[in-house]
Amino acid sequence: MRLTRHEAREIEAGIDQEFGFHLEMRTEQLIRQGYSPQDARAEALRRFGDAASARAACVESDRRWQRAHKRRELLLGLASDALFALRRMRRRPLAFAVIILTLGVGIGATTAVFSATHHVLWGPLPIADEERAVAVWETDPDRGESVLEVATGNFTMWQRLQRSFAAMGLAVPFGFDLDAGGRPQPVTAWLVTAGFLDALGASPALGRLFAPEEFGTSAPPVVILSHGFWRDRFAADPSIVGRSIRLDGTPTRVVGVLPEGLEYPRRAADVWAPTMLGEREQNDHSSRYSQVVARLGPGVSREAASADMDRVARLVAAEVGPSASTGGIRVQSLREHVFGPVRPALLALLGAVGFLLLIGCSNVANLLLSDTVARERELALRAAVGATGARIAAQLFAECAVYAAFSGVLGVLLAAWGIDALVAFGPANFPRLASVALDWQAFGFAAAIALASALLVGVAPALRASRTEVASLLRSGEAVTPHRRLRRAFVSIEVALALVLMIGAGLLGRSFAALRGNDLGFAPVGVAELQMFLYDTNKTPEARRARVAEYVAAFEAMPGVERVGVVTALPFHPSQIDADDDLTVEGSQAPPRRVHTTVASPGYFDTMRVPIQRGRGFDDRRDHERGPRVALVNDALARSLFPGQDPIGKRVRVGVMDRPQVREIVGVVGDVRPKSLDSEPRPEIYVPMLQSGTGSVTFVVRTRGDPHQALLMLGERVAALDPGQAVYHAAVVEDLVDATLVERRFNLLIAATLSTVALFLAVIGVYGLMSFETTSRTRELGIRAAIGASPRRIAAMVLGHGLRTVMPGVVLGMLGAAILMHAIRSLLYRVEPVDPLTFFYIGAGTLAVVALAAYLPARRASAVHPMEAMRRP
Amino acid sequence: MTDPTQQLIRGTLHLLILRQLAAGPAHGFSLLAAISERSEGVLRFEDGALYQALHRMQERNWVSSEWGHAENGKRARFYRLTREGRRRLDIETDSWQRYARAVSRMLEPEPA
Repeated sequence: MRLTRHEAREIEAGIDQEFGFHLEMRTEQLIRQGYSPQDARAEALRRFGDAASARAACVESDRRWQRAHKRRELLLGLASDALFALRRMRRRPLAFAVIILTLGVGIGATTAVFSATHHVLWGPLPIADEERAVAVWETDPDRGESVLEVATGNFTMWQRLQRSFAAMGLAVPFGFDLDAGGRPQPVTAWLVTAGFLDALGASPALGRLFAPEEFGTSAPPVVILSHGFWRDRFAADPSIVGRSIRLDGTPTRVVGVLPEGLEYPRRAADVWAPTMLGEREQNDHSSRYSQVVARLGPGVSREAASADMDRVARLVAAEVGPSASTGGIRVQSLREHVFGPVRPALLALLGAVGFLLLIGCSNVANLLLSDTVARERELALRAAVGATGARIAAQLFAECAVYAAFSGVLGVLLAAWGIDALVAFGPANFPRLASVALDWQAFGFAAAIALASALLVGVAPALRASRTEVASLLRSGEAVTPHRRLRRAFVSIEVALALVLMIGAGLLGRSFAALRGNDLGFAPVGVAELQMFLYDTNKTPEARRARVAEYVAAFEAMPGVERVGVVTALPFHPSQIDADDDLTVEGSQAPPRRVHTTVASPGYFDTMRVPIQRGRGFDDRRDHERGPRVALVNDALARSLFPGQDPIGKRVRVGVMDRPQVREIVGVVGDVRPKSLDSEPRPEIYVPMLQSGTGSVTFVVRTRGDPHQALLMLGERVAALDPGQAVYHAAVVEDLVDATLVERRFNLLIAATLSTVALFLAVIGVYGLMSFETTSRTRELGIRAAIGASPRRIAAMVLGHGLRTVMPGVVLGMLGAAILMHAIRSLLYRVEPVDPLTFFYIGAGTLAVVALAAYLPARRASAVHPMEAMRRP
Repeated sequence: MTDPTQQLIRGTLHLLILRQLAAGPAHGFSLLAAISERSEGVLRFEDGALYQALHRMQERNWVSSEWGHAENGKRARFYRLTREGRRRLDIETDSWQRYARAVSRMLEPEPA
């Protein structure tokens, strides 16, 4: 505690006076003993000794004492103020509860969202030098796709041509069957090339990473477990490292476990295994299903690497031909890749809960303000008996400190619960959400915002109180000024903030509706899907085709089954492989086109209700292995390849998971959305199952009953037919479609909840202010009624006054939303951030609700009998 | 300051002040007068030392001070014993008396 200059001067003056008094007394005494006045003065000084050093020592002592004294006074003052505040609150438990609850909810929500945001967006990744780790993608400007998975052949060339990266690796999504007794269990995997884990900067939590020789084909198979798989499947048993597990029937040694939270690339996998690209993969420039991670070399910036990869893209295009990599290469920071997609939603959420807290603060500030009005006589009395403005302000702040303490504790409790709810109900594929927890940073944050809010709500009443005019207040019967302008400003701000949130929720709602209204191109209701890989047990194309036919027949024979189809890439399937290939039209000089290729059985289109728009569908009796090569194209491809012509009978050359062949187009099918409701249909070509030897197939089964029920029976049927066959993925297609909406639905739900709470708080604020203002006008209204104003007129007057009060808030909210909504542009779909319709309806709706809140006090006021009103003080 | 008596006094100055203040509040000059009178002039020290001692004792919360008017009507700082100071006086008196008894026993002629 520092001393003021005034206090320091006081100390010195006091000591000088004390010494002076002493010397005077001593001189007088000596004169009485017979000294001459001059000698007496000299003798007194002599007996005093070294006055300068005594003075210095005394000053130092007094300063230390005074500092300690001030500290003690301050603490005692605070404690007594806090006690006083607590006693006041005990007398008004309802107001106290409202204040604590309002602030506590705001603090809790803000803390929970801050914890999540902080952890998800800014928490450290479990990798070394994360700013040097980048994800590398292909891009295709023609199709408007800025991030495409990478073809293994292109990656091979990148590796050879690039000059920017210290390490570079590729990961292929894969599935194993884990054999642990009973039916084989599907295990998701990343097959990674040498360099991938180095590029990522991963270090093992247990054991080790792969040794260089383990990437060879002749090396004994090894595997690294993900942290989650190790914990869930092996009960976090550290002795698993060094032991073998059976994957696809092969004993595979576990060499290590990766650290928790290492979910990169974004898809979480159970195990990681080493791989080496074979010759076929090194030359495959069309199948895009791999992810590439690289580590920037020393001194290389991401921009420089990006420029270098542009050069590489041109070289690849020149070497392989115009079609292989017509697009470019994109170098993206790994953090951006993992968290970029969720950042806008999280930041918007953080903003929204911040708004909620501010609305709560305004309400509480208004409540306290109305309380200070009621207390002004008490405060004036204190001022009259000598309390300074600062002292009174300190007392009010002590009250706020009590609020901060209580609401902060409540906030932390609510935040702990809120985080649990976020983790439990948040989208499952949200990165790192599962590991969000209340940590000391969250406590610090909660404490800081609790204090900040308390100061915020306390500053207006305190300022007000410190300027209290004693005389004017002590005069009895004097009506106190209710500082209307400040209170109205608070309510306006509340209405504005709530309106911004409402408009945000409205825009998300409209986006969601627009998305739901999109035509899928197929009918997902009632369809179950089973994905299997048939290569291991069925080595030849003939064997695989026979096995597929066997399953189809078995499924079709089941009760309740309407139709069964087979396809290689099912729309909305999470492990869908983008198989693109070059297509040339026979007799055309146009450069090859890249199209998406799919193998399908005749029943596929019926089962999924994808319409045959022209020509015919596939027919097993004609379109078999020995029959003429045929294909179906979708509407998008037909229109772009043969604008204004009939595509039926045209011949195209294309390879579909096979060497290129010339095929005749026999029909046109409808477009389907490939991955999500907001993904646009792409040019697609389908070839018949019997003219392909693929073994990665998805069965689709349309049933009359509940497809979830059918799923169980289908699984049992597979087990009965071939006990060694694993089902890699099984789901109801409607659920797959639904899963793509989970994140948006979650966002919408949260936005709707927060904005409803915000509106509710704003309504309380408006209602409170209007009740207060109407009550303070009761006499005036009574007089008006007495001189002939009808109740209706009085109600209209009060209502008009209420609307004028909230109108600035509505206008401010509209303007604020018009600016702020651009920040959530990436969360919107087919609706502009400043959507006139949304702004109009939400604005009008909010105004109506707020007007109702203003009307209720007005109606009460109009019902007051004039005589009664006049009698009131 | 080479006189050994004075050094002894320095160590016990606090005790003398506490003892004197136990009789009632007093300003510095009256304390000084009372101490030299009761000690019959044996205990002597510079006047300034008294004030240094008083302010140090205030810092330790043994005494408190306030301004008042002396017998001649002049403004003077009056010191009074705090509760802490009274406790201190008991402790110091006790330990001084034990010390003094021990020393005087040492100085008695040994019994034959």
